Amino acid sequence: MMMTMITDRLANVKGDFGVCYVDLTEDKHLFCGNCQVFPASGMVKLMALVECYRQIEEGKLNPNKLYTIRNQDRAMFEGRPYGALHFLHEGIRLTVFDLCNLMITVSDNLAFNLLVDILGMERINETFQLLGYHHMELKRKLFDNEKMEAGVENTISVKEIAMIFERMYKGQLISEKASRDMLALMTQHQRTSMIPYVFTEAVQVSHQTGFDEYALADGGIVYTKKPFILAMAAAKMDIREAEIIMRDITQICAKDMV
Amino acid sequence: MILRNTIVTDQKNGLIHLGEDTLELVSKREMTYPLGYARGRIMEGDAFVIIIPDMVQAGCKLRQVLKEVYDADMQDDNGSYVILGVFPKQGQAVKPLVKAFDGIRGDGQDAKSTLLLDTVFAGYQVQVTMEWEDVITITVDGQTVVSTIDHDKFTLNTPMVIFNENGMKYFCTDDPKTAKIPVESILEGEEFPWFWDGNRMKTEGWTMERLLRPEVYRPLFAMDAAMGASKNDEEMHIVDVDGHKLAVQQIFYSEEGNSIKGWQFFSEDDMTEVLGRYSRGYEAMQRASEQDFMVEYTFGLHGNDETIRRIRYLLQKSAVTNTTILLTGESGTGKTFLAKEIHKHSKRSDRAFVHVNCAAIPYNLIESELFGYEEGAFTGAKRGGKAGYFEIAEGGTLFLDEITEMPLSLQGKLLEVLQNKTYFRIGGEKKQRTDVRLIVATNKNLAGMVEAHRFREDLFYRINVFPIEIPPLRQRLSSLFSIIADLLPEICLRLDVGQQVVGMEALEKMKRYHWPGNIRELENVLEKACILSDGKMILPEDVELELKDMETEKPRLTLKEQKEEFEKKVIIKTLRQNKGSRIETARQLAIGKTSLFEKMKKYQIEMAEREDVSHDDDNDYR
Repeated sequence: MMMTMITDRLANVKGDFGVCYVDLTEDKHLFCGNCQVFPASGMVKLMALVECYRQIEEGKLNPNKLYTIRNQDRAMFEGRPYGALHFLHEGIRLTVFDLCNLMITVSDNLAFNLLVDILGMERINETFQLLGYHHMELKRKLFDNEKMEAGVENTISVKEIAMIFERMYKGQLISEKASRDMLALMTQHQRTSMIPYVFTEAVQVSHQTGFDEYALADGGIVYTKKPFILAMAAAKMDIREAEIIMRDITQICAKDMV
Repeated sequence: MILRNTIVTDQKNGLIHLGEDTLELVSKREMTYPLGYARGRIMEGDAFVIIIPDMVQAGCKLRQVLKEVYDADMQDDNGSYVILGVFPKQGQAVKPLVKAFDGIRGDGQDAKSTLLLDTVFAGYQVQVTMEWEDVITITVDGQTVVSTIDHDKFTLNTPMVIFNENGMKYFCTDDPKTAKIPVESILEGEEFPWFWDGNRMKTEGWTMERLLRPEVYRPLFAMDAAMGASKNDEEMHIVDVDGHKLAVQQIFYSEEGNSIKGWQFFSEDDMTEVLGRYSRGYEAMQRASEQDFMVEYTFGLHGNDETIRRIRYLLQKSAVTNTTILLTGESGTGKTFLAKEIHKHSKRSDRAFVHVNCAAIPYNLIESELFGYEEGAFTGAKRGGKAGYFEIAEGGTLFLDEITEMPLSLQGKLLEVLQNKTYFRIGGEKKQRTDVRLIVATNKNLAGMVEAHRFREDLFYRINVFPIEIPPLRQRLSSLFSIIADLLPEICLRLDVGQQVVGMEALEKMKRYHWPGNIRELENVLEKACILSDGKMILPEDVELELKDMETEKPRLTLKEQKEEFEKKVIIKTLRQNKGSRIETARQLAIGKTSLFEKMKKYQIEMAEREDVSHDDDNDYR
């Protein structure tokens, strides 16, 4: 039934679209769409978040260590950078947790890039390979124009994102506390135009999004009476159209769950 | 007669009739199987679902509209489709959902029930099923319409449903009115007529409470409860529907021996139209009540009271002659306007009309302005001299406004011009002949000024040939509505606002005002009221008047009190005329000085002797 409804909704969609749904009560999984792997856009921040908590859990990173923001850190961002850090004064000192919070709550791109420097790109990828998420790959920082022009792209997988959230829900990513803390942080994610859009404020959603000119993603856990996971991504299509489709699909998935 | 703006119910609020104009008050969401819809058109943000069994049969026009307006892609021109779309909204285009399905063969061999579409589109849950190839069921957010397939024509009689957050807004039916409008026309925004299945409404036992929107039903219920049974409520009540105010009145009547209730709804436009009709009727009634006195020309005088009719008569008689007319009246009564009207109606209408405001010309220049001067007459005199107003107005009309401002020294020369029809320019030696028709105006008491030796008596008699006094507006309040009816359309046109009518309460407020500025002030007040008015009717709060000139509700006076009040007014007025001189006042009033002093003490009148006396301040008591 749900499959039919989602399939109908995607009837004549041009472009790449993938949907992965997990019913956490009945442990049912569903994939729909014509593509599984997508350009990551901001969704790559989920990778930095996981790695950050891993290093903290292993004692390799002090979450309260202070880092100083310098002008050269912002140099690569042109036009209208996303987030708040870009607009704060030079020399401001923030902790790792501060950077994490900014990265997740307001999708701060500068915070993400700084965390990549702190955590190490290779270590991030290593962690995800070890976890079995082979299609999630971080190859460049955000707004690295040189690499972008060379066609270097970060990638995510809707199925693997769904798996990551399933692990977190079950307290099995990094540790139970880390899973709980990461999910709690992601309930404060302020971009609410897709999955959270169809719900009232009474329904919590723990999620992360990614926006790009021709790519869109949203994935997370919806805490309805019968909670479920929904991970969606779209590419090579009008993102306004993709946004509306994602809202409709969320409504389809929530139909019997509220 | 059942009106289109009326809802009719039985005594138990069971619906009997919904007028066409009341369909917007229906709560569509309550109807699982909608009974109908109001007249309308597809609007920005409205969604639709269309079932096209055969794209070829549907026609290229429909394909074209779907493609160009909605950007819907149909891969196969021969196929069958279910299409969901949204009427484009600025800045927000929703790509249509186009789903092909196996065509309707019409042989009845297919499965019982086929789910053609089941999804959520733009937030609406939409399901389309086909049963036994005969019946198409469309369900949107819990509302369902059912249609049957005409296999001969291979079309459906309900190929389209339009819906929005309020429910189903349109669906095709067998009704001859709706069936004729092509689907593509509706998709392009053509208006569709209303449709309502009244029979189903009655047989299914719909009540007001179930069917009407809560914000409409609740006030009606309250009205009903307050009224009791079988008594017409003359009061209008107001309900708010989507930010629009509607006036509603409850009525009772009998049909076939049964007592039934009705509610009539009036929009703002309805009320304006009715008000306009009644105000025109009222005006016609006023005009019809005047005596058989045909005035060929109104001279722009507003109103039809006896005083104005008399003035028109005098003007009609005098305008066509060359006689000098003296216009008197308070400021703002329209003396200048009237002077122009007299000229327009005279035999000199094709010649010049020259308006001279004697108060506006400096004292030392007035003679040269009026009579002109020769070259070299004085230092600064123009080369070649200059024609005066008498010369400019030659053959036409010369209007001397505020004649009392003319210096005493010049009044003699003016008198000579009027008597001999000749004058000399300043510095001139040649006698100039003059042929002007003179109109004179003043807001002062000319006779009083003559008495006070501030105006020449002989000149006064020369210009007081045909005196016409224009009464102040406060003496013509019975004609106020007619006057406003004459002024208001032009004011609205000049301000470029919609035509307005004056409400009865606003009119009553204006009738309580003393109008010290007369017609001019009335025009200003109306102009401001038009700007302040939020609708098409001027309300009391739009009329801004000086409080001190409002006649408040005074307690009724006894005859003695009224006499004393009048006596006080007369004494004050006479004192003013005599510059505060008690001796002169007592003489004029033919009472003893002692008596005057006693009355002044009684009425607490204090007045010092003053230089100026003017009868503009008649109502300024102390």
